[in-house]
Amino acid sequence: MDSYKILVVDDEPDLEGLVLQRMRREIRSGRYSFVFARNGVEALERLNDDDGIDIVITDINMPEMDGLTLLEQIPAFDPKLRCVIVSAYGDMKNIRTAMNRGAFDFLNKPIDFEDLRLTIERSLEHLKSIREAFEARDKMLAEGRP
Amino acid sequence: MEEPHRILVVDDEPDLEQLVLQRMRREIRRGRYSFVFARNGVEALERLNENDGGDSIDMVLTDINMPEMDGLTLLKQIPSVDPNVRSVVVSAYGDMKNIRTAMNRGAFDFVTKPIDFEDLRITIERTLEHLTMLREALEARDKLVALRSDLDLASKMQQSILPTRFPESPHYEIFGGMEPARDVGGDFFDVIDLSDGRIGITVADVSGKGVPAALFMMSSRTLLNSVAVARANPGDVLGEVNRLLRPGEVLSEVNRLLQENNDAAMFVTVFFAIYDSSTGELVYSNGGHNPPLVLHADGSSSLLSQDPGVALGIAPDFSYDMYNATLAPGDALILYTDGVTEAENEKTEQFGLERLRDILGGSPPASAREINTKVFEEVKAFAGKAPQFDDITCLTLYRRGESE
Repeated sequence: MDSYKILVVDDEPDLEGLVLQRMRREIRSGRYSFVFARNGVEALERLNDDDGIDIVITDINMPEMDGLTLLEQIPAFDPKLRCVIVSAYGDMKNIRTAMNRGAFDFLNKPIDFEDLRLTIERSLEHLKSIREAFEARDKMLAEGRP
Repeated sequence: MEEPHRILVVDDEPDLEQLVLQRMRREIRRGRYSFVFARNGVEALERLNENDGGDSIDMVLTDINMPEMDGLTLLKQIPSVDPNVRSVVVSAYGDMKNIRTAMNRGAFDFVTKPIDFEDLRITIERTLEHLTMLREALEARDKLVALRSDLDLASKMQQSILPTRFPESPHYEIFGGMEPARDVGGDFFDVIDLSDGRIGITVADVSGKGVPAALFMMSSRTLLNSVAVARANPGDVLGEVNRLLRPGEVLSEVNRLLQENNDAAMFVTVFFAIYDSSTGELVYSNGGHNPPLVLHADGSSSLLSQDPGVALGIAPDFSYDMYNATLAPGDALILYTDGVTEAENEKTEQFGLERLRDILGGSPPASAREINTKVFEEVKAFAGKAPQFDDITCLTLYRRGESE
């Protein structure tokens, strides 16, 4: 089975435990693994150190670097990386800003884990189709055919 | 200019149509967008079904609440009509439930009512950008798939001109093979029956790789064959006079002919020899090719003495010298290209001529096929997982022993 690494960025330490607990089945089956960061700066460090990250799920309000700024920085690491933003419920202004800055989707707080699961799966599906298209192309190009 | 991107707007309020046309008039005038309208999901699917290749709909902007078929239902139907269409839903402001449902059903994005046209513009651009990126990747892939199949065919055609059946004789055995580094290669070898128990043998390596090398290889081979055969069989009258075909002159003539249309400045190294099977005599000439190896009946080996000459296609008036040697019964002549000696392993070490001599030496040669097969196996084992950079060619001529 394919296995995916998800970077969760939030300054609230509670989220880490919650995600690990609510996603324990997916973790145990090896489908998801999670990495955590406390703000945008830490998130960029993680992305720098670990090239296996598939999806970033990020809070908006965080110290040092907020989620909307992080969103703008991510394409430089990997333009194919999918990013999901977590906003306060109904915070339409931030949600629209995030979507217009290239977020793949958004989630409301408090996190509905069923929605999170669907959103992750949809992001992965999307990521897969993009990767497949690019990989097929890059592979052929790398073989150096004229 | 590019064709406008076609956007299908689905809403049961007739006002929206005018509003979109009015607020997007600049984009419409510039030919960036064109709009199609539908009043509900059923009509929208009809529009999508009418899609023909020429002006197909790129994206759908749909309201949620509509008669007959609502936007959320439409969203589920779209992928089966056209999986390449992206959808954006228009929801009531703050209607989080419907927005989340739409997103989870595969909407690319959403906008809220009343429509903020600046947001809509960004959203449309982002959607189109995404579509363009995906399409380009898919198109590039499709083009390369097509190219690949052309190359596969070219490779088959090229392989088909290399000999797979070899002359049979009580006096000698000959066997050769070529393993291209890419689909099509620049190496070739040939065995031409020149009658009277004589055969012409060639091993050659064209500069470069891929399609240009393959084309140059085809023309070099054709020239070489026609010149060799013309000189060997010039007709009944002159037959006697020209009985002795001269490899040096063949190379000189092919060299002159190759210069004539060689704008790409390609060249080809060629070893060409005439072998007389009744005497074991070998008359040969070399155009910059690797020195052939002779494996003696006692297990020792030597290199054919020669001046390596210049590759064909470089110096138009170069005159190629001719040399003589004799294969004793039980000797084998091994012709190869640098794909053998310069094959690299994972540590980027080269296979080398010494290794070739080592693996073949020690015991008397037994058969051309066996020697040739061993060369390929040893090179493959040596290279391991390292990629093959060059075509590998080996052709072995074995003079049978007196007792055979």
